[in-house]
Amino acid sequence: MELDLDTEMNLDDMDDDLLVIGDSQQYLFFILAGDIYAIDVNNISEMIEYQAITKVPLMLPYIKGVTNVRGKIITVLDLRERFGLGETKLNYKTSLVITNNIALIIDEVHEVTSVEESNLKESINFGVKIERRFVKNMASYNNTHIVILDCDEVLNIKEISQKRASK
Amino acid sequence: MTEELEIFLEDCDDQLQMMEDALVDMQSNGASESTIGTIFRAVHTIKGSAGMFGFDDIVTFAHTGENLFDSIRQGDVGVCEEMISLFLLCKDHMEVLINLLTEDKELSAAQKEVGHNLIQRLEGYLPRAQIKEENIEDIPSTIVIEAAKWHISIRFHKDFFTTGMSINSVFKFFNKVGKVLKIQPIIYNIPSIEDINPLHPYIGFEVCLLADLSKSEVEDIFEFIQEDVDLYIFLCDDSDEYNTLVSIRKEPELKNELINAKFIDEDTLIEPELIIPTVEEKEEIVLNQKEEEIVLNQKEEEIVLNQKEEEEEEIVLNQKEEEEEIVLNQKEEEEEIVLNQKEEEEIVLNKKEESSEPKKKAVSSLRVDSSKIDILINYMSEISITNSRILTLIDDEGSEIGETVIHMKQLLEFVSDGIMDMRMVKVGDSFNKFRRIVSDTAKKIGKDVDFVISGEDTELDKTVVERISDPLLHMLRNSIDHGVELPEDRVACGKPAQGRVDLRAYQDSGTIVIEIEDNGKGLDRDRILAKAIENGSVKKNNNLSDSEIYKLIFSAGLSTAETVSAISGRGVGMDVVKRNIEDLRGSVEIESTIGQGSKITIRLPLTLAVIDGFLLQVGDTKYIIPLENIKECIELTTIEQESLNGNEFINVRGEVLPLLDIRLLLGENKSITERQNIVIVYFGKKIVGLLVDELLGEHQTVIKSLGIVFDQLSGISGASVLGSGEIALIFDVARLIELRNEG
Amino acid sequence: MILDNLTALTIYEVETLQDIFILALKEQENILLDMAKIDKIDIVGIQLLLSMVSTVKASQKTIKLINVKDTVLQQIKISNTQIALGLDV
Repeated sequence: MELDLDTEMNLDDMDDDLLVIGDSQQYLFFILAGDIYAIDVNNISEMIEYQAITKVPLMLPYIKGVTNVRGKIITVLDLRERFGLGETKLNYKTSLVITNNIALIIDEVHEVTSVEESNLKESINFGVKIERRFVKNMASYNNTHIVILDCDEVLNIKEISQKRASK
Repeated sequence: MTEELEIFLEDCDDQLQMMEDALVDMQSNGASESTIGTIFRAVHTIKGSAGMFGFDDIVTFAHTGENLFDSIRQGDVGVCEEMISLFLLCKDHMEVLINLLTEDKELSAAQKEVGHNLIQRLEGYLPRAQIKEENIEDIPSTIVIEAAKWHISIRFHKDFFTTGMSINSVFKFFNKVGKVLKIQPIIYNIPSIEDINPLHPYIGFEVCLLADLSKSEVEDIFEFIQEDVDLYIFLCDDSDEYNTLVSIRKEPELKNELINAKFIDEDTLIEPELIIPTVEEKEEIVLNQKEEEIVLNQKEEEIVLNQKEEEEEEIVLNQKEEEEEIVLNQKEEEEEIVLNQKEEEEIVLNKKEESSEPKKKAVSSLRVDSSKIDILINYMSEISITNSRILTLIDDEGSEIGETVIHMKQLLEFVSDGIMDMRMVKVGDSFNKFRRIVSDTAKKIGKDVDFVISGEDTELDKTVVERISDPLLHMLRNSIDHGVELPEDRVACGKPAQGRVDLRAYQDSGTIVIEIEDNGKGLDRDRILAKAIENGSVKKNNNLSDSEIYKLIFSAGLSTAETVSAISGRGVGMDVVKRNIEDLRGSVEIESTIGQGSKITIRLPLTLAVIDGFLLQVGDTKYIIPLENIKECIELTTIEQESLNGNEFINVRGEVLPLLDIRLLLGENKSITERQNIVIVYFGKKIVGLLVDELLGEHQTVIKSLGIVFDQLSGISGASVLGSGEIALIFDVARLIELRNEG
Repeated sequence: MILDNLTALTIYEVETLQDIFILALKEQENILLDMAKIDKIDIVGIQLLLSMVSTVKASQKTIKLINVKDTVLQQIKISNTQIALGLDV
């Protein structure tokens, strides 16, 4: 399924297009630093285009600031930087995935699709570029293995709310 | 109501007020001939005129009071403190009796009981001979018409315990007016021992009472505590009501609890999931159905208003691209909207006038959940933002549309001021609740304390009042426990045996100041220091100033009380107090003189929700400073800037002020802007100059939380969405000043 | 555990008692709460006891209130909390 990024998109709208079969769960597949990662859609409240961000000083480098989503103030986190994969380079495909009042900057939305439970596995493949603690499990997807992110760990409040070490 | 009756009621009001003033005076200055005289005359006057109207309840009651005061006047009976408190209660009861007349209501059983009790206590003071056989009315043995089974669901408001009211006495009273068939304590809301705040009520009760009372009579039983309880009363036969109860309480466990306690069969209750509204906020139950309707209507009105706004926005946005004649049509439409708005405005104003009319006792006040007001405030800000966006789209402020939009802006300001005003409450009610616990506390530890409240009329945001209540109580207890000495110790130091604790509130340049002052022994500088060194929060060789040392009592784990008493001294209090106050964007300071007492000064913002701010830019980010904290803005010329270079102080017309470079503090890039400015800000007595880039002008703004990720960020208290949709960060001036002074 | 220094269990004591309870919960498996010296209780105290009892039960330990005076028991009965407090009546 192709996602049209020109319009704001609610996950509710998409549900109609997707068939839920047996023990399967829907995931958002997205591109980050050239690799595909996935997040359980239950964690996501909304996806929007990248938009202007107000910088908040003194925070960790990957906390980019806040942005206004229909009058609500949402924290913005650069997922690439969080994983130590360098700062996101903005382009027209850059998107924000909002989960738990925090918007994650990702390079590109790939697709939303369901994965059957039999295609999930706990063991973590060699060659995963991010820290193991961020990995919830792996999913077989188009003959490759994709990391499903552990949102609780990625958004660990204790960790991400720390202040930048003073110079 | 006849004119005579009105005059009578007004007169009673005056007399009662005089009586109260005299009693309070008596409490602090002792009884004097003139105060006793005043009270006697007041009681006598009320009795006399009540007799004229045939208000027997008032006459009988006043009569006993008059007798006692007569004996006091004759010198047969001495005045003691308990007697004064008793008289205050009597005064309250008389007020109740008189209010009932205004409302044309009958005395409830509970009220009769109260009156009866008071009379008995009054008689207890009378010399034997004085008690005549006039056996004043028996406890109502009202003829049973039909005994009803009432279900009474009780939950308590946060302050219930600290008001000193007792629920057990209510339960006991149930058994007097009827028969309690069931009392089921609701305990599933009680947190674990680690998490519980033992002073907050979590417990609730479901009661089944068999009594020949009407619903309002049952409600009257709770009269003295009705402010602090959340009741739902209905007839047990009505199974629909049980469903309503379950949905109102929003307690998933309640259904099973009701079934287990056999209030009702399983079948009668439908699945609570089906009826629990999705709204999470705890909604206040409005007892009076009429009131509820009014609230609903109001809400609808608001919604209509919002819709209108939205429509209008659309219209104006479309206008740009459309033909002129359509524009004209729409203009008319728009004007109509404005007119409607005006009407609405008037209604609001009228309502205000109505409610502020002083002499009417039966002021119809609405109890509205404060979260509803918050929602309105939020919408108001969105509307204002939208309106200013329209203005920027129009470009030409001089055009008719421009003027209309500007007019709209003014109207919106009226409305939002009106809404804000709804959030403001007088601190008096909350302060007076402390009286009892203060006197109880003092009594319990053998101290004699005169508790003086002033500035009761000071208004403060309701949320602030609610959240400041616990910290204040804690500090008051501290003052009594640690501050005021025992009477004998006081006398030994040459002080009067009775200590004094003052609780004051007043407004001072855009902030509310609350002071707690005692004339006790003051803080022991050396002991605080020793303790702080002992627990490692301070190094051994320090040269801390006195005020810095006093500040230490607000750090965690520092209690200097040698024995942990039941009242205070657990050392967890004051740091929590400080944090609570800081959460409200306030500050707390302490002054103390050994042997003479201590004074705690709390400064709080007037309101939490909206601030008038000054918008400015530092680096890439826009910031807002609350206007109430700004003294002046100074533009820096290049020359001044050079002389400033690297300096941490600035000389403003001979006054040397500490300077805080915001860019440096916030780690912003040292970009070279053309102009730099200094904003001189103050909080309390402290003044600091802030070095910023560009000044962008005044801005009224709704404060929004930045989110938990930024909880630890100090110096920034929130954020605000600007008309352009951009976000500006709001400076917390109190913290900035602290940061500057800490270096 | 004997509540030594206290003779009442009311709004004035609950904060101190909370600390004592938390400590007891850490140190003891089976808690016996000797109420012999307590002769006054109010709803605030009862609520704290209820909290303690349910916390103890949740952590698979046991708690028992013993030597409860009649005056105290009467107050407890008014609010019908004796069963929740595990008192045999």
